[in-house]
Amino acid sequence: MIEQFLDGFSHFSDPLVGLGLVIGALLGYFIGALPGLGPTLGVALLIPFTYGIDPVVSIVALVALYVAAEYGGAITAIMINSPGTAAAVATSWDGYPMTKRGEAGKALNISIICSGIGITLSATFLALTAVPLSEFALTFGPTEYFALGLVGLSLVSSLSTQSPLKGAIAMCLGLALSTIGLDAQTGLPRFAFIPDLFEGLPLVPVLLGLYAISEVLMMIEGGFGDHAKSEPVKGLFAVPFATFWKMRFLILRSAVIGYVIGILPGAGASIGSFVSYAEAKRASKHPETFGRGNPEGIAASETANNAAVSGALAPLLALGIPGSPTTAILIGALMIQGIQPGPLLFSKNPEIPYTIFASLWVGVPIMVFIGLAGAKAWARVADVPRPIVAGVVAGVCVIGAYSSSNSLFPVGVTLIFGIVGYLLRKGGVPLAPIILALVLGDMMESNFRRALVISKGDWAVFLEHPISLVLVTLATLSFVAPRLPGIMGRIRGRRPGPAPGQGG
Amino acid sequence: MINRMNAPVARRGGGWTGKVAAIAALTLCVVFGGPAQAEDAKDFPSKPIEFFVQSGPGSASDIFARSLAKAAEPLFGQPVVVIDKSGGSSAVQMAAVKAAKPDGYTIGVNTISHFTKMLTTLKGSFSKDDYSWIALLQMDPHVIMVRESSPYKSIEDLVAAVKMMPDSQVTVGGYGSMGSTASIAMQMFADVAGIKINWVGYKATPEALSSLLGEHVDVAIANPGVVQQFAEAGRVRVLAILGDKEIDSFPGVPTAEGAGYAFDASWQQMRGVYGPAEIPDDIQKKMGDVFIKAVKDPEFQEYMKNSGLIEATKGPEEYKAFVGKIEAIAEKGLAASGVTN
Repeated sequence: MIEQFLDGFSHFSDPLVGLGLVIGALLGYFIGALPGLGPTLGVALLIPFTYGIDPVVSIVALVALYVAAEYGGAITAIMINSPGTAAAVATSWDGYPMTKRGEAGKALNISIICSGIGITLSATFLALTAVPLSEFALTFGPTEYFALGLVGLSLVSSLSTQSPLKGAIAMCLGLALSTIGLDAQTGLPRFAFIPDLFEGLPLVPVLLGLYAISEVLMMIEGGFGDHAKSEPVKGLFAVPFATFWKMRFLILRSAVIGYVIGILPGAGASIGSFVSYAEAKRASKHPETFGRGNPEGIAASETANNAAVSGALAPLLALGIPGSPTTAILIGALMIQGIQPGPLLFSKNPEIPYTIFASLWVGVPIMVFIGLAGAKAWARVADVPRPIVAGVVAGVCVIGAYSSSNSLFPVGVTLIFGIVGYLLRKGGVPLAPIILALVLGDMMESNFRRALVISKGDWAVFLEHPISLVLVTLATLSFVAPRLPGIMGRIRGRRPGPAPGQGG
Repeated sequence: MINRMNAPVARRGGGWTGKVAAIAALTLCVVFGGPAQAEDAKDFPSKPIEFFVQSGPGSASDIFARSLAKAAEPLFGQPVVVIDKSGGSSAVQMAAVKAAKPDGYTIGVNTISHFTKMLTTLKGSFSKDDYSWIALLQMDPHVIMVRESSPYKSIEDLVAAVKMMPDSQVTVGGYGSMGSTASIAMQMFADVAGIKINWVGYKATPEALSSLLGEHVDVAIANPGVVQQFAEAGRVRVLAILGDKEIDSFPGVPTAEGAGYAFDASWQQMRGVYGPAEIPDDIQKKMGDVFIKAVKDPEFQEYMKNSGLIEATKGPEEYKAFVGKIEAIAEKGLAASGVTN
C-alpha cells in the first residue's frame, strides 16, 4: 500500500502532471467563481481537451478542476450573495453579512483555508476508507435514501427559527417545484408543458434567480446604501492561525459530515454543507449569531462541501458508482481513456486511484495559494460602487444561465425566479428551504416510489429497515426539537382547555 | 454559399426591402443553386460537420460520438465537431436536428430511445419521417443478472423460481421509467418466459447495479459495458443475454434464444447517425459509407471492445427499412409494459 502511495506521488515528478494540476486548479477556480458554471459543467467542458492526453495527466487535471470549482462557488456566495452552486448556499448565509460589514477579505480567507483543510482531511479518510465505506453505502436502498431525505428536510426547522411557518411554506414550495418533469416511474410528464421542462427545473438557473437576481432587485430598491467600506487584506495570511485553531473541532466534525454524506450517491456536497451548518449552529454557544456573519458558519459549510468531493470519489474508485453528478462525468472521462471504473479498478489500474489521492494532497497548497491571492484581489472588488456591481451581476447571471446549456430556456428560468425570489424576500419568506427542498425533493420522491414498488405497497418498510428507522426518528426529533419549548409552554399554559392541535 | 446566407433574410422579410431581398436570393439561387447542388455530393464535405449529442459529456452516447468523430475525420477530410445538445430528455437535440438544413452538415446521434420517445412523450412533436436515417453502427444488447450470492444459477432456475412465487412476480431494477429501453427488454423477456415483473426504475445504470448489490432488488438488467467488471470481480452472475450472439466477456452465458426463450433479439440499445429529412440520397450514401468504414478503425474497435459493444452496421437504405421494424417493436414493447401512447 505504501509503495502504491509513493507510486501515486511519483507521477508528480513528471512536469506534465504538475502542469495539468495547476491548469485544472486555475480553470476550476474561475469556473467555480462564475455564477452558473460549476464543477459539473467545468469538468464537462474540459473533457474534450483531455482526449488524446495521457490518462494520468487528464485525471489529475479533471480532479483538480472539480475540487477548485467546488471551492470557487464560495467566492460569489460571499461577495455578492449569489452562490453559483447549491453547495455554496450555506456559505452565503454568513459570508455575505461579513462582506456587508467590510470583512470580505477575512471571509474569503476563512473559506479557502477551511476548504483546503476539508480536502486534506477528507482525502486522508478517502485513502483509508474508500472501499469499506462504499460497501456500507450499498446497504442504503430506496427506504434509507428517502429517510435520509427526511433528515435533510428536517433541517428547515432549525434553519428557519425566526418564522417556522414561513420556513414551512418555503419548503412546500420547493417540494412542489421539484415535482415538475417526467415522472421517474411511469415516464409521464407532470407540469411539463414544454419539453425543456421534462428533466425538471434546472437547479442552477433557479439558484441564480432566487439569490443573485433578487439581490440585484434589492440593491436597486435599497439605493445601494448599506455597505461598509471593506478593510484591506494585509498579506496572504491575514487571518491568524488562532482563529482556525479555535474552530478545530468544528472543522474536523464538518469534514467527517461532508465526507460521509458525500459517499452516498444522491446526497452530496449541498446536503453535506447544510447538515454541517445546522450541526455547527446546534453545537454553538451562540446559535443566534449564525446567519449574521459568524465565521464558524463559513467554516462549517466550506469544510463540508469540499470534503464531500472526496466522499463522492469513494464509490467511484471502489465500485465504479458515481457519488455525484460531477463524478458521473468523470467516469465518462475515464472510459474515453479506455479505463472502465468498477470493482477491479484498484487491481487493474492502481495508478488511477493512487494518483487521485496524491493529487488531492498535492493540489491543496496550490489551490489555497490561488485562493488567498484571489481573496486579496476580490476584497478590493467589494468596494466597487454598488450600481456597477448590480449591473455586472445581472449580466453575468444571464450569461452564466445561457452557457449552462447554450439555450435561452435557463435564462427565462433565471429571470422568473429572480422576481419570485424578490417577492418572497419582501414577504420575509426564507429562500434556503426552497433550495433544500428542490435538491431533496426529487431524490426523496423517486426513492419513496421505488421503496413502495419493491415492498408492493407496504408502507411499514420505512420503519422496518433499521437504518431507515433510525433516520426517520432522527428526522422527527429534529423537526420537533426547536419547537419543543414553545409546544410545552403552550400545553402547560392551556392545561385546563383542550390540547392544541399543532405546535409552531 | 450565398443562397444559404440569404435564405433566412428572405423568409423574415416583410416589407419592400424584404421583397427585394427575396428576389435577389431567388435570382442567386437560380444562378448558383443548380450547379452548387450537383457539386455538393462529389465534394462533400467542404466544411466541418456538426454532430449533435442528446446526452451530456461522459454519457455513453457522448463517448460514442467522440470516438466516431475521431475515426471519421480523416476519412471525411473535415472536422466532425461534437456538440452537446442535452436537455428535455432528448427533445432539445431532436428539435435541433429536425430544424437543421438537410445538407449533411448537421447530424445527430440516435439511440433506440429516440423511437420510444416519438411514440410517447414526444408524440406529435417528432416522427420518424422528420429525419434521414443515415447509418446504424452498433448494437448494445441487455443482459439479465443476479447477485453472486443468489440461489439462481441459470436463467431457467430464475424463471422456475419466479413461477413458484405466489404472484409469479420478480422485482427487477434497471435504467429508466416504465417504457425505457431496458424495461421494455425485461418485459418482452418476461412475456415469453411466462412470468411477471415488478419494475423499479433508476436514473442511471450504476444506481440499479448498486441496488442489486445492496440486496434491494433481486434481479437487474443493464448493458454489458457497465456489467463486465462486476461479473469479472465475482459480484454479479449474468444469467442471459437478450441479444443474438453470446458475448466473450461473459463466458458460458447463453442468449435468451439459446436458453429456449423465443425472445426477439432485435430489441437492443443501438446507436446510429441521423439527420434532418431530405438529405440528398447521394450525400446520405457517402456519409453512411464513411461512418461504416470509421467503425473498422482500430481505435474505434478498441473502444467497442472495452465498452462491451457489438458492431452492427447498416447503410441508409437498410437502416431506413430497419427503422420501420424497430418502431413496430417499440409499439409492441410499450404496450406490453403498460405505457399507453
